[in-house]
Order: sequence, then structure tokens, then C-alpha cells
Amino acid sequence: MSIETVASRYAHALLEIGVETNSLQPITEQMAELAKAYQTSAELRAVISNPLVSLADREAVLTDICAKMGVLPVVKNTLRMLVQRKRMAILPAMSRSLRKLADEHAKVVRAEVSSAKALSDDYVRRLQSEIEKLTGRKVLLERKVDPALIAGVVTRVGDLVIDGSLRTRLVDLKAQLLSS
Amino acid sequence: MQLRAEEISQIIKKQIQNFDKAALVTETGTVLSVGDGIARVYGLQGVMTSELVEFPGELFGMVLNLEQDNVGVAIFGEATHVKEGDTVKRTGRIADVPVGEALVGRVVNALGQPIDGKGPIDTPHRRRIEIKAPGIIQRQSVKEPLQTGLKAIDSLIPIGRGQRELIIGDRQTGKTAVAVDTIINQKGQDVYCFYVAIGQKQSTVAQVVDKLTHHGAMEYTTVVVASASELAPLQFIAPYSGCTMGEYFRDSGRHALCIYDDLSKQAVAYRQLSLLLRRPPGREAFPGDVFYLHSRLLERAAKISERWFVVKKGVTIPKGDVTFRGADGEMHVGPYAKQEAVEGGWKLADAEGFKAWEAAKGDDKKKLEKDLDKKLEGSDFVIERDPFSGGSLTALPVIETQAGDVSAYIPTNVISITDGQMFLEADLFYSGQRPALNVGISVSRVGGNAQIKAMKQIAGSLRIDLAQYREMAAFAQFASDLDAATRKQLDRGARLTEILKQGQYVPLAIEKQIAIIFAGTQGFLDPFPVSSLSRYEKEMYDYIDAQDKGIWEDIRTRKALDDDLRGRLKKLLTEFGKKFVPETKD
Ligand SMILES: Nc1ncnc2c1ncn2[C@@H]1O[C@H](COP(=O)(O)OP(=O)(O)OP(=O)(O)O)[C@@H](O)[C@H]1O
Ligand SMILES: [Mg+2]
Repeated sequence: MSIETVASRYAHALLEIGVETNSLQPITEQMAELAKAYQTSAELRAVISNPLVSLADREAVLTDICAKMGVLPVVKNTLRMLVQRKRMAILPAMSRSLRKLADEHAKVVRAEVSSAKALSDDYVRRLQSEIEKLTGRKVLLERKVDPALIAGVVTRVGDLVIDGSLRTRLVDLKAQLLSS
Repeated sequence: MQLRAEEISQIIKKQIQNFDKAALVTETGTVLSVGDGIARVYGLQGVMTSELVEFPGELFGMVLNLEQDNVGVAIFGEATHVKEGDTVKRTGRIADVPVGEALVGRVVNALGQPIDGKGPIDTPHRRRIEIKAPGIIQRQSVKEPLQTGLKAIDSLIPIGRGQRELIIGDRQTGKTAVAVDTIINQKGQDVYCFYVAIGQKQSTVAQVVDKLTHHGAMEYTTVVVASASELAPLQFIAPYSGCTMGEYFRDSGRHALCIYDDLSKQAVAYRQLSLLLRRPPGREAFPGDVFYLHSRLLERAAKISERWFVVKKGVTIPKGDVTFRGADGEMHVGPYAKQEAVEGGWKLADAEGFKAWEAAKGDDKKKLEKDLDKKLEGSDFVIERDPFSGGSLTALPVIETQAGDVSAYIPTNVISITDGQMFLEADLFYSGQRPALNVGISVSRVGGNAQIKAMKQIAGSLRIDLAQYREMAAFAQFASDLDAATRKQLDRGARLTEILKQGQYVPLAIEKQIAIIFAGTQGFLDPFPVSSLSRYEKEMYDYIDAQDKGIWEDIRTRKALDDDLRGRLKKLLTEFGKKFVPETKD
């Protein structure tokens, strides 16, 4: 089975636990943080998935990390299970999958708006309500400032990118002029 | 194409006027992992299989695997700068290549981009590389010959336009040579040739291009190259690209020839891709759909049926429009299309006469036909063919075997898909029998219908003589003394085998082939030693050129060997036989 398939099964299980115990949001966030830590720290990966380190030692490391990050017991248990079953590699995919499932469950979509300069709150509010109208879901809007866009706004909703930036148009114009 | 300065400013002006269009909406995804020319991408919802997607840095890839929450993409280029988290954009375009007359004489890569330094390819047409093969209604059986110019092939395993004939053999047995000679022989035959080189060394391909140029064959040839140094995805799509370029001519009523040299290497490239995409491996680690890989490519070779219409004088048929109907409300297709269209014309020109003709029998019918023909001529209806119908695409795939093993996976697959195969054998090649064709196990399953009649008449006895020779030669090895009849058979066979030898780059016109094979099967060569026959052949052609040049034209146009032609040939050969001096053995 591919990593994605396995990961999505674990994610489904966690989703159900989260819904039942009414703690879906913290679980999702904590899993994401752990996944990030796992991905960014080569040291952590080297220890956690290393068969030469005894299982007890590895669990001790995990316990310490979990204590430091203050995660829920269910998240800690999930990690211990992954370590025991030698499935740590699926952690990033699992976190991604869980986030998607959780978003679907809560009927929210994530959107991101980038602009060359910071946008006014009023504009962002209007944009948010437009996207909510478009998707029929609640929108979690993240803002970003990217001077390279020159002017205009790029909005990303899920996979969809609505690009109204000057940079993209200039690039397009260049391509069209070169081809004709 | 040169642009003048004001044209450029015109273009820029127009672009600027349209500048403030709506924002660009694209669907995107994120790279999860990348390696070995394969990227796994998360997102890209709604992406289609074989759609092109764009990576940062104007790098393109083709979607191959659609999985539950990620897609597998084969990258068409250097992917070292692509990293995890990069954005991938949908283009909405299925992989396509430029097609059209502008490609003739060019050398391009698998994406149709020129690599011969002769500037951009100026064509308005593009076509998808994966197109469904024509259906049974659109097809007709093979009927016109595609002459290879090689005696052994044109006589014993003739190829027809629209056929798929496999060239199979070990490495270095002259497979490419057969293909190249066939291309050279298409000069002046209105056949557009496409040589697709897959997984070959650049130097080998350069040699082929050189040879084609030297023999004037690049005037009607396109070379598509995905060399050994290129990425597996490009080697995988190259045959489809070449085929698509050929189909443009097939679908506009012309003739095309595609050579895929070779499909073993394409299968290997596809296996690499499939394994990296984690598709389950099967026999010889090839994926389960490797049969379909080749069958869908080779099915696109076809002879397109002719479409005939009855139309009012002055009406031009919309080219290639299959929804068009003639004045009788019909589109006539298939082998009898022309006759049907004529009958449709008769009916319109003279309904009563047509009824009488339908009822009539025998000689009456013939007479009425003549009357109706006149009526049709006098009426304002004419019979016309859609100029975009009746085209063909012939495919000559090449497969390399290991130590002559044709029962390996890929060879058996391709043998079962094609309409016949030419087996080239290393033993024959090294013993000097070149082309190293094993005529015993090579076949052409449909080309016989396309062979010109004169060749058909003499090929029968050639085939029988050779078969008997093979059988006896095996026995004769052990026999010390042979009876006269056997001896004669062996001598005849040795001579026939000898005249089937042919050098490279010297394809022979069909009428000359007929002359030499006629000489062989009729015993005109029996008095001469085998070693003198190559000289005999050359001098014989010169002799006939000098004595009765018209006979070449007659064989070609009359197509069949009638008594007159046989008589003339026999006379010429007898006279030449008297003059010819074989070298004296010393
Ligand atoms: N009819 C012929 N007469 C003389 N030499 C020939 C003939 N056909 C091929 N050769 C020579 O034999 C060699 C191998 O031919 P060719 O490259 O066509 O074989 P191939 O089967 O395509 O080889 P590869 O497996 O490397 O692709 C070449 O050097 C070629 O010049
Ligand atoms: Mg070759």
C-alpha cells in the first residue's frame, strides 16, 4: 500500500476520535506541529526511526518531546503506535490528510491572499465574504505580503489560484510577444 | 519569419489594449516529492491524465498517475531545481506536438521542438499525441504497395500502405538499414516518412540523418529523436509524437510511413517510468499495460477508406467533413464507394433508366450502363472523391531481440499486434547474406493484396524453390553423392539466395527486381557460378537499358507479366546470357 493510503486510514481514525472527544481542532494542530518538527529535524528522524536505538529509548525521547509540546494523550499514543509499528514516515502525509478531513468536517476552506503591500482590513473582510459566497463554506483567510508581485492580489482557495498580480500579467505579456 | 518594426508595435499595442482582462484563474498543486524525473504532486484537483502541468522555471511535465490524493507526474526536462513545496500549475492542455508540412525535412525532439538549428517550426497546427485509432468504418483493407526497394522483401514479404510490419532481430543485424533503405526508396512516391529514433546513441542518429540527407531523402522525411541520453518520459512519448505527425498526412488524404526504431527501448523507458510510479510490475518487470502501450500505437497505422460523393457541378466538397452528404443524400465509403456513387449519380441523372438497369441482366445491363454513363455526363451532377480521404499510415516498428529469442515478452507482444514480421538473423548476417532476412519464418499477412501482379506471378515459384532448397540443404550436408535432380535444386536455390543479397542505400525499382528474379526462377542463372551473379545483375540491367529500355516502363505500367513481356524478357536474358563472361576460375 502506498504511504498516502496508509496515512489516510490513520487520519480517519484520528478524525473519529477527535469528533467523539470534541477535540478535533487541538489534535489536528498538534499533529501538524509534530509533523513539522519531524520533517525539519534530521536529528529527530535519525533517532525515532532508527532500529539500532532500543524501542524504550525511542519512546523516552517521544515522551520528552510530547511533554515539552504539551500534546494531548491521544496524540502521544498515536505517535507511540507509529513508532512501534515502524510507520513514522507517514507522519507528514497523515497530518496533511487529517487537516483535509478536519476542514471538510468543519465545513471550512483555507484561503491565502498575497499582495505586494499590506491590504486594508476592510478589503480583506470583503474578499472573505466573496470567497464564502463562492464556496458556500467558512473561510480561514491567511494574509501574506510579497513585494515581488509588484501590484495586485493573488488569492488561493484550496487548489484554485486567482491571480490578478501585475507580475503574472507581465510574464504573460512577455510570453505572448515572444511567441507572436 | 521576419517581423517589421511597425508590426511589432502593432502587436504590442493590441496586447496592451487587452491587458486589463480578468484575473488569471489556475488550479495548482504542491510538490510532495521529486526524484528520477518523477514528481508526486498534492492537489491539482480536476487534472486530466496526460495533461501537461507547469513547474517553476518553465518546466513541463505530463500527468501519468491519478491517485486518491496525489498525482504522479513525469517531468520533461532537467528537474534538479524542483523541490518539495513548489507550486505546480495546471495548463488544461493535453500533451501535443506541432504537425503539418513545416515539419518535413526537420529533425525534432519528442515534443516537436526543432533540434537541427534550422529555426522555429512555422505551423499553425497542433495535435494531441494520444489520439484514438480510426474505427472500422473509416478503414479499408490494404491495397496499394509500399515498395521497400529490397528484393527479398518486395518479392517475398510485400508491404502495403497502411500495414504494420515488424522488423525484428538481434543487435547489429541490419534492422535500421532495412528501415533507412525503405525511406530512401520512397523518393517521388508521395509518401511522407517519419523516422523515430528511441534510445539510440546521438552519433548513430546523426549518421542516419546524414545518409538520408545524402540520398535526398530528407526532402520528404522528418526525424524524431529521443536519444539514449534523454529522459525516460521523452523516450516513452516519442513514438506517439511521430505517429501524430504522420497522422496529419494520413487524415488529409496523403500517405505516410512511420518507423519506430526501436520499440524495445521504448518499452524499457516505460518500464522505468512505471516502476518509479510504483505501478505493479509483471512479467520481466514490465507493467501490466505494456501490451496496450504498443497496441494503441500500432493501431493508428491504417488505410483510410475513400469517400465518394455525387454533387452538383461546381459544388466543392468540404475537405475531410464526415457529416457532409452528397446530392443523393449519401456518403459512399468502402471498397465499392466509387461504384456506389456512380450508381447514385445515374439515379439522379435518369431515374427511369436506373430502374431499367436495376431490372436488366447480362448484356442488356452493360448496354444500359453505357447509356446511363452518358446521361450522367450530360447532367449537372458529377462524382467526386473527398480529397482528404483514402490516405494511409504505414508502420514499421523495430524490435531488438536477445540471442534470437522471439518468445520474450515484448517481441511476442509486438509480433501478435503487427500484420507480419521480417526476421533478421545474426547467423545469416555474418555469413554474408545481407539483408539477413530469414525468408522461411518472415511473413506479411496482408501485403499480398497490395503486391503488383507481375511480382506476385514470379514470387510464387521463388518461394517454393527457396523452401525446397532449405529443406534439401539441411540433408545435403550429410549426403556424399546426390542425384542430378537434387543437385539441380540445390544449385538453383544457391543462386536464388545469392540474388536476394543487396547492398545498403541501393534500393531497386520493382521492374528491375522482377527481371532478376525472373531470370533466377526461369533458370537463366543456372549456367553461371554463384560468385559472378552480383556482376551479372549489374551488367544485365545495363544490357536491357541499352537494348530495350521501354520494357521497364511496360512492366511497371502493365503491372502483370503477360506473354508479350515474358517473351521479351526471355529473349533479352538469353541474348545477355550468351554475352556474359563469368570470371574464369584459376
Ligand atoms: N545490406 C547490407 N549490406 C552491407 N552491410 C550492411 C547491410 N545492412 C546493414 N549493414 C551494416 O551492418 C551494420 C549494422 O546495421 P544496422 O545498424 O542497420 O543494424 P541494427 O540491427 O539496426 O543495429 P543496432 O542493433 O545497433 O540498432 C552496419 O554497419 C551496416 O552498415
Ligand atoms: Mg539500429
